[in-house]
Amino acid sequence: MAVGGTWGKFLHVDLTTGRQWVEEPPDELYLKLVGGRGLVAYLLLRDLPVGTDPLGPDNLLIFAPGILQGSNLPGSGRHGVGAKSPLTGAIASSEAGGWWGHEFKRAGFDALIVHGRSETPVYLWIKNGEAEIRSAEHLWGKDTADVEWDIQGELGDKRIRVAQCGIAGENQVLFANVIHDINRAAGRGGLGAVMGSKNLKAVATRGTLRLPLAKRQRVTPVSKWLGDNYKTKAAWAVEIGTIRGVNSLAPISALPTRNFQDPFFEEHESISGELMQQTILLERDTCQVCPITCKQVVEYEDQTFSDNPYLRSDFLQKIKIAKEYGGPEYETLASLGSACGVEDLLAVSKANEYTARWGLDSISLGMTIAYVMECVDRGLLTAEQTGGFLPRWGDAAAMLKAVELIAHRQGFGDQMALGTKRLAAWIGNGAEEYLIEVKGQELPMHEPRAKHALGVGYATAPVGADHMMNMHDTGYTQPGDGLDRVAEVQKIEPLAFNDLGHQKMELFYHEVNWRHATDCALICHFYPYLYSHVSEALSGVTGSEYSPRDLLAVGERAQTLSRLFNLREGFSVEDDRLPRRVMKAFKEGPLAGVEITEAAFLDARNYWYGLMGWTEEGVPTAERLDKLELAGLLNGIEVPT
Amino acid sequence: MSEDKSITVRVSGNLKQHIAPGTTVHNVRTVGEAVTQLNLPETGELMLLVNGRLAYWHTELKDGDILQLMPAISGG
Repeated sequence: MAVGGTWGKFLHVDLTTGRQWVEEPPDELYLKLVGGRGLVAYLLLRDLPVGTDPLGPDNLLIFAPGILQGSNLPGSGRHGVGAKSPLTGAIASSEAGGWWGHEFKRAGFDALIVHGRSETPVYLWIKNGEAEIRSAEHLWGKDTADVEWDIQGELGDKRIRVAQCGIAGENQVLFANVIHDINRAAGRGGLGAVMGSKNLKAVATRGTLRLPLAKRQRVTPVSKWLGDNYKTKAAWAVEIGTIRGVNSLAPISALPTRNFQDPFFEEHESISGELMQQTILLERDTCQVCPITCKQVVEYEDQTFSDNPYLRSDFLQKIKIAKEYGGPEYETLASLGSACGVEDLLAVSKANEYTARWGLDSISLGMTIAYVMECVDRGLLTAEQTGGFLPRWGDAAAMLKAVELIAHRQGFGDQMALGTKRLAAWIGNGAEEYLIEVKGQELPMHEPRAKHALGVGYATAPVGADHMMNMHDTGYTQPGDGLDRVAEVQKIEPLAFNDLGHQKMELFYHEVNWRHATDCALICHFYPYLYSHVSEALSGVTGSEYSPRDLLAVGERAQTLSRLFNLREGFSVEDDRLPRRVMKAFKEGPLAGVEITEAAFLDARNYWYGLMGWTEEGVPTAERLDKLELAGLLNGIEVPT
Repeated sequence: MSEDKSITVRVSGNLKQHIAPGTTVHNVRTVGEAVTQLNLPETGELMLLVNGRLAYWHTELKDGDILQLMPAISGG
């Protein structure tokens, strides 16, 4: 064993030829990139010709756990998936929780790279060092739960974990996701469409191999610390989870409403996490080796909830919501709720079920529907253009209908399935003015005007607007875990939500590197670990020393490699911008008058480029590539400088 | 002579276990001083609001201000 926590094996499968081979990477690759996004960006740079069609056979679909997967460290129940994005044309790199990543890693490979395209639908079956291509003709067109259960039945083992594209991915909806364990998504960037374009229905895996760790005695104290502290430090996740976000963000104008137009959603209580707890929440769920158990599971059959004044629904006793599809998290409550002006919790929860059943990114889905509602409201779309489908703000039935049309590419759903940027071009007539996207990816459900550095993060994230590989300003307005973590490399004072000065951007630099590092290692972002907890765990697992700064460098490498890929594909500094609507101040409410000025934005963004060792045009310099020790790995690979 | 500033504190979520309705703090210059005076146990990340508007640790307080503490959320 050279590098602990690894097998020294990447599995490559070419679906065009049926050929499989094992790549044995050098230790340096594991130690510098660790896995996840770092690995995805590197493989795309190394192996993907410039200008590759994301839905063509030459795109690579990469399943990338990290070194920590399979180690049983709490928080490691997660893995990465990546490709060139069919939605944006930039890198797509998303993570999913659940059980699949751990299982796959235990099956004896560090990564799976899928090439080519099968003539007929297939699935991969990967078990303890072996891989088989099997027919999936009987699975094509089925709901994700049925696919998983059918595969488990066919192969005779209920412990088999399944990653799949839903029918949305089969239909190449540009924001189709990859679903794991029936309700866990590698959500953004259209990875499900890439999977569907390869006629790859699923990757089933079962692994019982023992992952060698170099020094388990260094990992155990980290696990113990988590066990001793999660109930206080991750109390929000234990007690309620992300769904608390609706009622806590609404009062400060931070709950996106009607495509980010409005400062407040009056009906927020009706789509809130608290209402969910009082009505349809069945139970909570978790991921591999995680005690926090933050996930939501809902179920609805025919209850009336007549004593609850906040539950306002046209669907009482008219729909069923199945528990195998989990339940809405905050992003979904907002994207299919307030962003569309919808106040119907049952409708939003049913839509959430569809996102898991059919495999759709709920953020891009909700924001696409919101965009269509705005265009209808402004008279930019006619019944003639849409076949009579004209959804209005707040129309829950229309929102659900839109989801069905999109997943099945029916009627106007065929256009909506392309996302807002292409839709705007199709509509014409000035419709582009109402786009709320960056690099073609729709904004997530966090208001930049309430979190100004987050706004810079939306503009600069390599995948387009993204809230996870980003920094949430409200977490650093007082002493606490966020600033304690950063203090391991730099002592920074609490800063205001709308501060875009140099101290804030230095904080942003460290914390965004941290987020990318946790997307390489991989560790769940809800974990209250300090940098040193993860660097210590990585040291123990690998047998190689990582300091907190070394860990942050892993994240910086992932960002830099992603940046190089995007630049090579034709992206530039011009694409690192924010939609004007979310820079302009609201006229009313708690954020009235608070704007992100162009000058403040540019100064902050450009200062961060400098911290990253990039030019004013956002191009990584040769000096920084050297400092990050990337010269060896990039040898022979064409990169822009 | 020091000014006797009275700041009303409101909390939500599990903070309600620690701060009774109608709690006030006195003689504090900033949000940070007020929160310190409250002597809260481990709470996780908080959003700090003064009179309904986002504030931060060094925001200055005036007599009669309402300080609100809400748990922060960053993902999901």
